Amino acid sequence: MIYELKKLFQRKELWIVLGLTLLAILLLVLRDRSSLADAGSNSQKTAAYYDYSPEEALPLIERELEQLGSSASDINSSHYHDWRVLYHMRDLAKDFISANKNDPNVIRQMYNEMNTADSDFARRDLAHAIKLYNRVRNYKLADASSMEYFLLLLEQGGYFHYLYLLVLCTMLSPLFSAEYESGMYQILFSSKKGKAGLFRKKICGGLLCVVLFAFLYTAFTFLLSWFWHGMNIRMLSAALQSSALFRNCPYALTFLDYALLVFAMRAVIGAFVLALTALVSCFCKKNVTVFVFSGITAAVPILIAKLFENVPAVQTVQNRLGIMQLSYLSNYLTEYNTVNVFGFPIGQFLLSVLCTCLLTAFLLSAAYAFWTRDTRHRRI
Amino acid sequence: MLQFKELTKQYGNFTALDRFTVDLESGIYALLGPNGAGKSTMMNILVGLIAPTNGCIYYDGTDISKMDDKFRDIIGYMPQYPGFYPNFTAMDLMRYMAQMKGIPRKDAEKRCLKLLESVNLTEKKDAKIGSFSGGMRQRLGLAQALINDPKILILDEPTAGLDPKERVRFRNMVRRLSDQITVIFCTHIVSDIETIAKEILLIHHGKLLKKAAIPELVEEMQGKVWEVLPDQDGIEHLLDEYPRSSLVSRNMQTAVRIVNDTKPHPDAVSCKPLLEDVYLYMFGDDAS
Amino acid sequence: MSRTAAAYQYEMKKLLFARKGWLILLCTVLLQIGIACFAKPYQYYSFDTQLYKEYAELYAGPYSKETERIIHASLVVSERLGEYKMEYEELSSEEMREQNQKMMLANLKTAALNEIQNKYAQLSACKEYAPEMTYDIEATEYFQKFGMNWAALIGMALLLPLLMLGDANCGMEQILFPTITGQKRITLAKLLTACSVSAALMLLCTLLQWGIFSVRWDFGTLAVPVQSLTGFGSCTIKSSISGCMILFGIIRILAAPAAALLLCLLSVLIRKEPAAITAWAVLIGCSAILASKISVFPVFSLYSALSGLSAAKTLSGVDTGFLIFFLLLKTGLLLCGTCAAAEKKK
Repeated sequence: MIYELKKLFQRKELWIVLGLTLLAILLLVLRDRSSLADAGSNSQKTAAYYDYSPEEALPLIERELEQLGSSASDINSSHYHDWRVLYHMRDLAKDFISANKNDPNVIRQMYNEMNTADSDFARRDLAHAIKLYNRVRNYKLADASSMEYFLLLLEQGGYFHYLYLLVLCTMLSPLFSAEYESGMYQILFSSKKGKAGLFRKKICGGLLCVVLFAFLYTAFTFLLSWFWHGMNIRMLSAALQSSALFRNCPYALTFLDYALLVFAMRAVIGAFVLALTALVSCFCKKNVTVFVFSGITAAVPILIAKLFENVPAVQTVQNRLGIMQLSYLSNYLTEYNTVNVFGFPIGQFLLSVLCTCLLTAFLLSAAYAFWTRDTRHRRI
Repeated sequence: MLQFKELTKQYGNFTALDRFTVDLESGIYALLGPNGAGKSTMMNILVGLIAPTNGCIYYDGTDISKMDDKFRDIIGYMPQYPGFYPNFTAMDLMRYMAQMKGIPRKDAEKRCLKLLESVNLTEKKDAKIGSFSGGMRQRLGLAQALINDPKILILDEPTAGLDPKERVRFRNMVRRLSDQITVIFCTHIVSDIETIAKEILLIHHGKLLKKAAIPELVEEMQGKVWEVLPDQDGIEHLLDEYPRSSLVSRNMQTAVRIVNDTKPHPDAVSCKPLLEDVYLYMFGDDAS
Repeated sequence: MSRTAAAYQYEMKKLLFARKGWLILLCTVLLQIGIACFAKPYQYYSFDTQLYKEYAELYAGPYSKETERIIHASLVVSERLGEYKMEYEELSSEEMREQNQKMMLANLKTAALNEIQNKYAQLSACKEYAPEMTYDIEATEYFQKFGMNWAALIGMALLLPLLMLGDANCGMEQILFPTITGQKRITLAKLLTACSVSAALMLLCTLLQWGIFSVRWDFGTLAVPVQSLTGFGSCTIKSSISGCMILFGIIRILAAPAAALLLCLLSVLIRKEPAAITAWAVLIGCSAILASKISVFPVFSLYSALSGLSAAKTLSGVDTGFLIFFLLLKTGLLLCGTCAAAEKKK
């Protein structure tokens, strides 16, 4: 297995691609930093209150709102934009403060709905949700302003999919095809371990490679956000709900848990791409062909998501199947989402991970079956 | 005349070619040496695929690096195990090479067909190269090398993969050409060298050891080639003690043929030397 | 015919037929048709398009101060609805549901009205170009689709490494380079093939895009200034929509050879197709990031040149001239650089 890893990492072009990837992540970090700053500077009002805590900012914002006008109809059109921004900031501050005081409104609403639910599943679903939210209510929230960059960088928006997929395909495409291109397959297939043993070794080596890359990618992003954006390390143990994005997250997770989940999901995606590459390699012997076909096949879920982004049914199916959607963890964790499985509520996230792993296992089995089809004994 | 003057090629600390100096007139020259001696390096420099670190090559007194197109117009090169486009037919490839070698279109078709006939590939001229055997590829490689009527023909292992009949055909073809052109070829098949080469260039560790005709080289080996018929234990002992030795069959028995300056065994008998003995004598320690 | 021209002819033939390049071109064309047929107009905010259409039809017409005042008043009313804060303890489930729905509707109206108000604010900012500019809901959003042409780029990514590395991979280089045509001419022929194929592919994909979009949507009047497009409010180019589309379409076609030469250079340096394609994609991505971060960078950026009409948002007339100049300079430098890299002997 170590030899398979060694063979992959001895390829000079892999290091070139890894170097460029890290450069791209670095530039993405710079881009996100400036775009966040730009979003702030679009409204001078937002920038002015950026460094205040919600408790400090709220009275100041309310005073400024009073100066502009007591209600919306009093505002003239030249100050309207500022009024809207301040109004929104006031709501955010109130939300944050009430969340800190464990505002029970959400849970109270759920209790009301549970009593009037018309199915067993709906009751079980709501009971499960209440249990989760109750657990989260006891979490101490903290000022998560230093973590916003961290969260943003972990997800990296639309560019992540394509960059990660491209690098994975580049890294994994020579796993099987290199043996054919160099002519070593004749020697390896006739060795004691044979085709089946070689396949197992390669898959293990590939998995290790994928996990290493996921770790490298996540760790580099983590280091950049700590070094470049001054992330407070102690905040890693704070509740994820401290961030505005995850305010309604029902799961008891810290920021560190979230980072580990992101790393794990990237490894799962990498395993899926590995399985796909293994299957494609059974039919294509050239490096570039494996790269193209596995890249296209892995990109199909992304393309479908883009093409049908306004079709809710397609989005629902995609979210349940997971695969590339797993890289957008925030879609799964920002709200309570379950799927009805024989009358029991199963978290959509868990279902997605399960589906992806099952699909990966299926692809690996199919690849193994095709790979070893010549070596199986036939009954005469 | 082709002149190599102090031709040197270094890769870091490793010297692939070390002040290689030789003059070649028209005729057939065989490059003989063990693997890694510098034969392919010399050929690659001659055809322009790699640049020398030092020294130069002159053709009729002109530096070939300054001749550029004009020199490439007069060379034909056949590499070892030529790779062709698998989706091209043999005729497609010949036409393409004719175009690349500047043969006018009206002459190209006829010349291509003639050359394919001379290498016995006429029946396969419309077949895809991907379906060719190794021997057929070699023949096609030879045909494309001859397409521009070169004055200098460079062949790297030209008969590898050919059956005996094809090897004889190749030798006859090259022999007919050799009166007007310079042919440089490298091969490990001694019988090819013996039958057609005018002179042999012995290369080792990048240096030219010797340039001589076959009779002269063989003559130098007189009194240095021995054969002895030992018992079974004696065979192993002799093979270990004399690295430049080989086992041969004599009258249903196994004899040991040894190349050595002095008589290696009391029962050893002096024999007529062959070209293979020259090879063992010059490169025997590496060869074993 | 000169040797380079003969070599060029054969390189085209090898690429398109011997290496099945025609299949890749066909797939690219089909991909472009698919993208154009499935493309939807870009929407800046998630809001109810039906509501948006209703309001837009209400306020459609030439720009006027009165219209802007009416929109603002409607917006204020809508925002007030959203101010309502519920106290769940006092309401039953049914009442809670009703309140939720009212709030949702208020939010949707607000979003739609905001978008229309933004539109009028944009028009008012650039009314100096056309005082009688009209507001046209249908003809604005799909122009965002005339940006980066992904199909052409994917086609180039699949074709060009084949062109540059195909001979080396099958061992033909050592047979071709010692011929009288020589390494220099063959390399030049390959690069010219790369430029012509990429430019032709980009032109074909652009024409397909325009053709399919013109069938799917009514372009409306293209003679209005380009500033009437959403997101183009700060564009300082004095040109109509049609003028900008043609200009930046031509720039995109000119940028295709530059992108092709970059890919050829990477192929020659890295010598492995997958790594070259990935490196190329990453470098173009880096160019995009730098163009968005550094204000002076867009004129130097290959990404801006490939972006088509989207590039007009941030460029002035003078910037566009510089963009073309630097693009041609880049193409020349890449051509020389790739030739030098390919001819570098061991």
